[in-house]
Amino acid sequence: MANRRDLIGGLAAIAIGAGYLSMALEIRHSALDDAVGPAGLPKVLAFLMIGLGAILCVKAALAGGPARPAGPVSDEAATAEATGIRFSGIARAGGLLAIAAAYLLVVHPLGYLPSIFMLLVAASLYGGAALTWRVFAIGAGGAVFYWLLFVQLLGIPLPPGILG
Amino acid sequence: MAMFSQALDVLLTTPAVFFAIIGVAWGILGGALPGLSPSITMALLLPFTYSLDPASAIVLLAATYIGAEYGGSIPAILIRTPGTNAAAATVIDGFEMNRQGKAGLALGISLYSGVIGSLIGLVMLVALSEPLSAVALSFRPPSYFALGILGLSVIASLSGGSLVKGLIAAVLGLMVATIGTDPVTGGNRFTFGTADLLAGVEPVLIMVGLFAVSELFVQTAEQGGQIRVESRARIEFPGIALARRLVPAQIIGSIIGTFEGVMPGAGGTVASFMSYNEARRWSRHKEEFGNGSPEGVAAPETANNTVAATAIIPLLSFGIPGSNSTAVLLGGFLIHGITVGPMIFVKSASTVYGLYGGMLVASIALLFIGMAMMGPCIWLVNRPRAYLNAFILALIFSGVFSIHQSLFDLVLVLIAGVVGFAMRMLKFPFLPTVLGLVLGYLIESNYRRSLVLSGGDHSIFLEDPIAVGFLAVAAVFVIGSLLQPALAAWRSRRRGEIRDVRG
Repeated sequence: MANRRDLIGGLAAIAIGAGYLSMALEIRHSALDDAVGPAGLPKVLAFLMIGLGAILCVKAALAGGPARPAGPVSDEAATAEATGIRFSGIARAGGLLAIAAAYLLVVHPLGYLPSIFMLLVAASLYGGAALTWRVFAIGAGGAVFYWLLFVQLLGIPLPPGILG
Repeated sequence: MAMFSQALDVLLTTPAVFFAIIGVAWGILGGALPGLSPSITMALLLPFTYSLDPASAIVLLAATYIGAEYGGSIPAILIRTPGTNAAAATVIDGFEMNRQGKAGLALGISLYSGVIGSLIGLVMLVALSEPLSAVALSFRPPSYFALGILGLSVIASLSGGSLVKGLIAAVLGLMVATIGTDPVTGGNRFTFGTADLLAGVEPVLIMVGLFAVSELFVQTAEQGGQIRVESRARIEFPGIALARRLVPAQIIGSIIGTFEGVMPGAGGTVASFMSYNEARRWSRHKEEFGNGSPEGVAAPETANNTVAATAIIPLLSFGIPGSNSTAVLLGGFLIHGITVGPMIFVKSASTVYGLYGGMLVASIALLFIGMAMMGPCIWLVNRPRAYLNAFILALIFSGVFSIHQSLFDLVLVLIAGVVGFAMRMLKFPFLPTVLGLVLGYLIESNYRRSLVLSGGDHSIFLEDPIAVGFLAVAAVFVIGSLLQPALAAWRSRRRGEIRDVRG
């Protein structure tokens, strides 16, 4: 049985390489171009990515079984290999992404304070906090804390929205 | 002497001392939270450094690194869960001491060994960085190109499990580095007609996304159980007799920490475990190791705090970040337009000397802040994960928005977070991507400038002795890393054969 993770990784690398190559081929030449040109390195990188992706696919197909722990042997980067993320977790992570994306949509029209309150409440509830008055109180306290820190203390012009 | 006066000047004329203390406190809190590595703890601060003066910003990040290395030992000792990977070796005897009712003493040994490690590491940093960079004053474009290649060759040792995956991750970083204005002709590449991409993608956004946002996604995906600290330990420092007994272990930790810090890709985890093993080998109380040995706490904690300083040596001297934490530190330099590497001691000497001064303050302050932060750390570790993650997400969004007041930056951070999550799920390493991103411009611009100078003749790279030296070291590095697994397997087979013959 092929190593599924590496196979997916290899295929993703090929897709990224191919997409990048198609864009690299569209880089326009100019009279100022040097011997290598602005498209020189991108083309090399694209072919490298496709080639490496193909090698990873072949290795995954030949090796079979679960992958050896890949990645760095350095200290903090080792967290990447220490986590046992299962594919079923993708949907849960996607939910958090959706909450984050929703924040981006509402922060300008609603303003920073209400948006960050909603973000705190939604992310807490999504993370498993119980639906009680506490989650709203903590969200409100957190929103005011961040507003005081960023807007009042650091003087950063965060979107005022409907309150502005 | 000029170094001391400039360091003192920075400490007296900027708020660097204040930020050294804040950084240590923040680092201890981040390190104590299992899942937040020193690099993530530092990355969360990156957006805030925009509004600071360069010296204060760099001191804040470096002090965070120092604090996080100690903070990791708190849950390691109290709940058998290392807050950072570098604290994993501390679990062995630290938790055993806790079970014997000596948690306070274990924490005290960890804290004061960390302070000793930080101070020794700082001495090595000051002594080695500038002389190493002196050679680089005569660098030309071919030398810089070769330096970039040497930096990328680190990937070979960072991709022990799969070199192909390490290379793919590096190429991805190099691809992102090509976005924006072409370094030679000034034309646009991969900007999709967006003005936001004309200046390229700022490494800080990618780092925050890869390290911090992907961690939130991972924690959401895993939804692990809540860890609780029931202990109410108070820090207790060792007496004179025990302190004397710990000296050999601390010397071992600082020597190994120095070497591992300078070696790109090695880092605090390797240093901690090596120090633990060597401390056991040279100890008069070998039998205590694994059963609550104070030396078993002192050696790894000295080592990982030494690494927090010595890992900065290759960054300052050559501009090469050898670990995630130093990559984030590099991000801090880039934010302030400071080019790290050989010329930094000429162009931004006061910032570097301010960094030294700030790290000295942070190392000493660690002793007091470490004691004061004990209660807040336990309180924070006991908070429900759902709230913690929500507050971290809000902090990231608020901090990143404050950089340019741009929603586009937040989109880039989210994209980097998704890519980071996918990379972790598929077990790709991060650091090669960061290396590719920060070294991509250096490599491409100097390669092409070299060819412009030589009229397209590649022999220019062989005529520059510095470039030849760097390329040769890079080749040795790559070949050595490739041969290492085969050599280890051969040694293991040989040991097996010897055992068979004896048996």
